[in-house]
Amino acid sequence: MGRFWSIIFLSIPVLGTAIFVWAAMGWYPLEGHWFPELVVADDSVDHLFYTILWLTGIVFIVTGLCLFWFLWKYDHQKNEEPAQYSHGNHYLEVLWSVVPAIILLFLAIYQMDAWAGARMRRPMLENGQPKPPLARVTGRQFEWLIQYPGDDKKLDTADDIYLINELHVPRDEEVVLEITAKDVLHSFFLPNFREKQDVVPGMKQFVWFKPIKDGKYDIVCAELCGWGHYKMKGQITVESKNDFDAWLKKAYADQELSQYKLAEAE
Amino acid sequence: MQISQALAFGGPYRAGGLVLAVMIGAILGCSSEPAKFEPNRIAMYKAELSLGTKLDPTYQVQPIEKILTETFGTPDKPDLSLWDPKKLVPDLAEERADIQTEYDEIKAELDKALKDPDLDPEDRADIEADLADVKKDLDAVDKQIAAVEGLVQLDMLQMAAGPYGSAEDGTPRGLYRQHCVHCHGITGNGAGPTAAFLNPYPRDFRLGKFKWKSTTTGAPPTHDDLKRVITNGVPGTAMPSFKLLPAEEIEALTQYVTYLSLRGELERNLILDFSDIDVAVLKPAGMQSEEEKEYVESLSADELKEEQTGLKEELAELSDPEIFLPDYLAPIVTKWAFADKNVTDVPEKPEVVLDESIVHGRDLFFKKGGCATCHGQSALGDGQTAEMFYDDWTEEYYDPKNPEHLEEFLALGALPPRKLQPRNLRLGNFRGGRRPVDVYWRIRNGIEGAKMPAAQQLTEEEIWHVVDFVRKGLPYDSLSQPPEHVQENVRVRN
Amino acid sequence: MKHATIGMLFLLFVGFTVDQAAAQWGTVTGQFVVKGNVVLLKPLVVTKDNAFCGNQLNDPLLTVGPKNELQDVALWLYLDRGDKAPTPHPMYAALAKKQVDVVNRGCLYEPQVALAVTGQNVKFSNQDPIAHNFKVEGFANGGLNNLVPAAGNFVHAFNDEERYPMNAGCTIHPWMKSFIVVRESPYMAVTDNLGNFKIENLPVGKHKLQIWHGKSGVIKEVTLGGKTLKDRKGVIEINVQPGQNNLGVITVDAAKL
Repeated sequence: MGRFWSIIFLSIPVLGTAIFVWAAMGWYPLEGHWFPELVVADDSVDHLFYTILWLTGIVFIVTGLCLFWFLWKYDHQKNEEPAQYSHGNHYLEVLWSVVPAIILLFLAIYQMDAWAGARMRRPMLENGQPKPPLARVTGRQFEWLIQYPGDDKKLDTADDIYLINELHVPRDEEVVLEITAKDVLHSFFLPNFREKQDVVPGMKQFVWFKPIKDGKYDIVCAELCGWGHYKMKGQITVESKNDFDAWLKKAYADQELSQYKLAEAE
Repeated sequence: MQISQALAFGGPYRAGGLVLAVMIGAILGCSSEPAKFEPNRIAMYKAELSLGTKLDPTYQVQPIEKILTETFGTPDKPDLSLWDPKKLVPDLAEERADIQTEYDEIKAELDKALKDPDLDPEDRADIEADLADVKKDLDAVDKQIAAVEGLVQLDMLQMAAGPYGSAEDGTPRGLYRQHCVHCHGITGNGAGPTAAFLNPYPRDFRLGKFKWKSTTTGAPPTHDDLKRVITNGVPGTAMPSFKLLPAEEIEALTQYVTYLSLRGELERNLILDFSDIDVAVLKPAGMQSEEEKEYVESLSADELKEEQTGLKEELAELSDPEIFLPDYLAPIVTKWAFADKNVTDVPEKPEVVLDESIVHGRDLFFKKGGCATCHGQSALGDGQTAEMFYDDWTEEYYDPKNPEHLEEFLALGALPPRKLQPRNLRLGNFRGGRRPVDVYWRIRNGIEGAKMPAAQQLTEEEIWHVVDFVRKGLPYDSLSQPPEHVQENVRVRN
Repeated sequence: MKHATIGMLFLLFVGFTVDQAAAQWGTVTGQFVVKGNVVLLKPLVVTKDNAFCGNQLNDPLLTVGPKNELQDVALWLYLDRGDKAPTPHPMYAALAKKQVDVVNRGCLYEPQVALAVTGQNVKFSNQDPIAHNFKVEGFANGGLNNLVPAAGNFVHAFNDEERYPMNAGCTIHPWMKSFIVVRESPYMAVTDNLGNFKIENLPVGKHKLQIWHGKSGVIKEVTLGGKTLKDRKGVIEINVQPGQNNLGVITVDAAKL
């Protein structure tokens, strides 16, 4: 019966890897379990993820197989010799402390650029000033309030455009968004843009990205904010600059609708 | 191997059996009853209080339930089989039939005339003109009937009703339960599980009153009004925007809200009428009030029998679709179907210099418009200090001058009353919509269900000035004004 | 031939008189008095516009005369389901075209109970130097809520019969309250400051009247001609004879108010 249990232990690296590969390939029934499509120019997050995935994946498989191997080889029913207790192997212990440390150090340095790109290297204008935000996104239970500055390019003036859950950004240019929250903690999460940042009431933060593919993508909330957290979804649309300008104009006109007549019957 | 400290637990198989039992129980789950519409207990109790007696379950409460189920169906299965225009609006159907006959007659006349070789072109023109006139009438009546029929459609209601899921052809089911029920309740009574935690409370559809609409006070909202609220949400409240739903689903939800509202209004009318009937002679002795007992005892056996039969007939008559459809449901449905007649048209905003308009508006706000009386000298909503401001949905069960029965209503499911504050206009938030037309409608029509009156003494131009003042002329105070957070991400490395 | 003509004329004449006699009308009068100790209501507290309205106002909901005569009792013709309304006397056709006045004066409504037939114009006027708004809540009729500035007015007709009087209030001055009765049949009345009411020209025969007061709602028990009449909906039956029908003093128990 003993070796049976070691087979069970083998299933962990085998099944684990199999499910992972299955999901990554998107085969039935595990479609939609891998990354959503990347639509921004900066793929450093994905790249980092895969690097770490390979590293840790190999370690996982190797350790899993080793565990199985030792359970199999030294199974009680197949081994006559009594166990030998040793005081450890100093060389081995140094090895398996230093190697992971080096790997971690490597990863820490390797990711600094990705972090800086996402949080520190704010897009600048030619004159050295930071690029002003395209819109302000405010998280509120349970919706995303979007505010565009309008023609005067200043937020909180009379010509601002207010929308709910509907964010449009132009393609092929650096988009900066000012994000904040109104009441409790939320998290501004754009899965397709690899962008996620907790928003805190009273705190103004900036996120930036450069979309390169048209389409409609999700904005979701990634910080539990109350009973409606699960449905706090918005929609971000990437479109060409011309389409974006046209849409913004139309949104302003809709907001300023100052005439209403019931359509006459034919 | 035996772990000495472990408790002996009846052998190795008992534990496994227990685990198995728990797993099976968890997988199978408990059975749940299908969802049911709740009766409007608040309206019933109110009727009982004003009459001084209880409503009889067999002869008053159950018939109401029966009529409602026949006319509207259940939360899982909406049923519009009784919604035949011939039964619902027989006058209109008759009118249509008459006009159709007239049309056919004139058409036959025209056909005959066209075959006549000596036809005078003037005569022909006359007949054709007549035909065109009658056709116009026919179209008008058809339009009215179409408005009644199109108010709620079964396929749309089926998408919204029922448990969450989808039908075989992929159309969604249970949209209302997916999106709306936890606040608005299965009956649309605004008292769902999360309602008590919200400020303001979710809307109770059963009164047929809605705040954010384009029609005058006293008229139901148009289909577009409801759709707009569902699409845009109500900013500043817990009502979210459903703009991201497919258009068909929004339509289904709009019709389901209409359906629930019609049902609620019918229920209230029926409660009024059924409670009006004196069923003292049919009630079991335990339910009779003092007055009723006296009355019943004062009757002779014959009189008693006679009244009982008479009453049963009367009640049966009330439950007959031929009676209750045109008498009770038709007035409600026609009001909703023809709500477009009550839409307030908004004239085009005149070209003005914004600053001048704001100055005018400020003057009107404080003087002729009378707005500062409630909205306050600083438009902070602090003008009204009376303790008696409650919205119509609260005043259904709570009279601030006589709050004796509040506990009983709360026990029946009413939400604790909350004072209604005039709006603080300096937050830059307009619940009914921030477009100029929306603010115009609020000022011109007032807000139904709330205390804001219609400023019908202001001309259209004056209203536009007030709109400008309110939208653009007030200082803006954000709800939370924290100290400015200095941006750190600007630091350039190296 | 001559006899026949005279005979015909004679018959016509008789028929004519009989016909006139058949259409007979009666006027019902009476006086409502409260029996027992009337507990007067506390004065209304003025919370807004105190400069004009003062700090307190007498509550007009319950007004009794020096001998406990009850003012503002409303009576109207009551019909059971299926009963047809009697054809009203021709005088009411002209009366329906007149306007009913509901006035805000001195931060109170006047009259306390207004009567209107369906379709009759009701003129709501503000005779105070401050703004009032008229918020009328109907059941069959849609409600209305109109802001009327000082010296302003507006006219509205209610087209559906209301089972019970509609509440009319003011949201700016929440203590202001009055009632508007809207019935299809013009046979209704309100008692004056001496408790007297008069319903003119009812068709002769049996009729039901529903009695209502703003404080108690329908008055469920009255004493009329020595007999105590109790009805859950405040309905009493009267037999109208041609000419004057004086119901005399109708007593209402103070406790029932």
